Amino acid sequence: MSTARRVKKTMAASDPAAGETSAPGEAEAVLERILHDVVRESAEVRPGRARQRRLIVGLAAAATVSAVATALLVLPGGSGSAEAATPAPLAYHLTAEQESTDARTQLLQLARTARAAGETPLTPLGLHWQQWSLNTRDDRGKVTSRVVPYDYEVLDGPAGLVVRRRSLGGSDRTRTDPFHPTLQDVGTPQDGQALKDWLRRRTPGVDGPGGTSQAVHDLLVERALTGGQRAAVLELIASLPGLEVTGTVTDRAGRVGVAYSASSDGSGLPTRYTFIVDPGTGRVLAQEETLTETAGLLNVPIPSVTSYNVYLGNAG
Amino acid sequence: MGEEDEFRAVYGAHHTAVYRYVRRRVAPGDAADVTAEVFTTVWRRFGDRPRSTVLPWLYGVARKTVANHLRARESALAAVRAGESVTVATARDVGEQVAARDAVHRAWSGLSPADREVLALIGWEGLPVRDAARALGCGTAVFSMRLLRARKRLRMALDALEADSSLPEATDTRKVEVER
Repeated sequence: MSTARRVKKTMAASDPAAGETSAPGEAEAVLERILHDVVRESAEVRPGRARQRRLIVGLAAAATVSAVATALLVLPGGSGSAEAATPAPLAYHLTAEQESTDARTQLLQLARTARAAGETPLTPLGLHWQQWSLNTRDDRGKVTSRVVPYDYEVLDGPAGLVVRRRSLGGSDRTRTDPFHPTLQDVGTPQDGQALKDWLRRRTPGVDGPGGTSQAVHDLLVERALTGGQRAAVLELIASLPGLEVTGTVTDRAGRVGVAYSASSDGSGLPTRYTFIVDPGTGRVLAQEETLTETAGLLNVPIPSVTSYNVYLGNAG
Repeated sequence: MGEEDEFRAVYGAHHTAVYRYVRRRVAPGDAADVTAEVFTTVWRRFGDRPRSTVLPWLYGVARKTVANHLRARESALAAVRAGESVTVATARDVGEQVAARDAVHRAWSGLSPADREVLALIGWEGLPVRDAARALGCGTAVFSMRLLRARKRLRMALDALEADSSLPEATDTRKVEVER
């Protein structure tokens, strides 16, 4: 046996990255960002870059539906003056009844309702969500930030999964997505703890608010969930430490839901992660992230919504 | 096919492979960003790509990107060691990341970076020797020699582990905070 084959045999079972993939949608988003933002170099001028742009990945991935005008922020570090362009925070109304029962109990009750309903996803399978991203970019020392709203549809067609992304800025792209997994997966756990363990493979921070927010988003834009799987999602959210009922709210798609929030400074800035849930069905309607104490280098007001996602159900 | 379409094709075909390459060498939380950085460089230099097998070239770009990332992280840690009052969001060393998994991980993580790279390109990236040599920018004969030596050292490290049943447990120190 050759040395290479011996090495493969010895190491194959110990691969720390076996089966791992980047978060759903992340690869696609990065690809678009690279093609949009990065300037090609010719081979001749490679070391002396004519222009260098550094993508700052950090404040990304969020979603929006209404009140999303494309805007440009010029942030400190550049020559422009700061100008806030984040969406207005939603209005939450905490009732006495909501206050009398803790968030975990409420969500577990909703999980039981969702599980008992036992719904299966509508066919043809599809997902529809809207997303607003606050991206920052460092371009020759001038840090800029754009509010870029997107509308996504994923459809399960005969030729495979097709992703349509529309920007309120005008672009409209439809193409097959080589990264998107099958929409319906019976293997997605239907128990909160099992789901958490399953998600931890790709989202190690799933035990905290930021990780749970990311993992739930990934799941909702990746899978058409059954009632049992939706129940597991609610149980996952219910397990968050420090979870509170934020109150009744109308989300950015005009739907009434109940909001549950937990805070963390794991991202570097104290952030409140809010999950808006349909009190009738237990569906997660939307998520919001809000800076609560400081904006760091981002010269935006406090509180400021830095991102949100609105899940609109079946596409098509 | 235009260059953008070609880049999309390369990205679609090899993103997962490059992500896993990076994931094996940096902290889990950094893998996505470093992978994005790799493909940013790949797009900038897309005119330099080889016309034949592109994956070894991608790994070559990834190797340099990972090295820069690890150096930057080391600089941050050095600042901490120098006594500055600073909080550094850091991840465990690649060795620490894998230490708890199994003996091969432990043995591999204790080797030199050069040995780790040679072994991983074959054992985990699964490249043929010829492509692994391309990824490292050396000849096949040189790579084969390095692989032979690295495997011997891996074997010795595994033997040493077997003989030592009192290995310390890996600790997860994700934040380092040193007050002056």
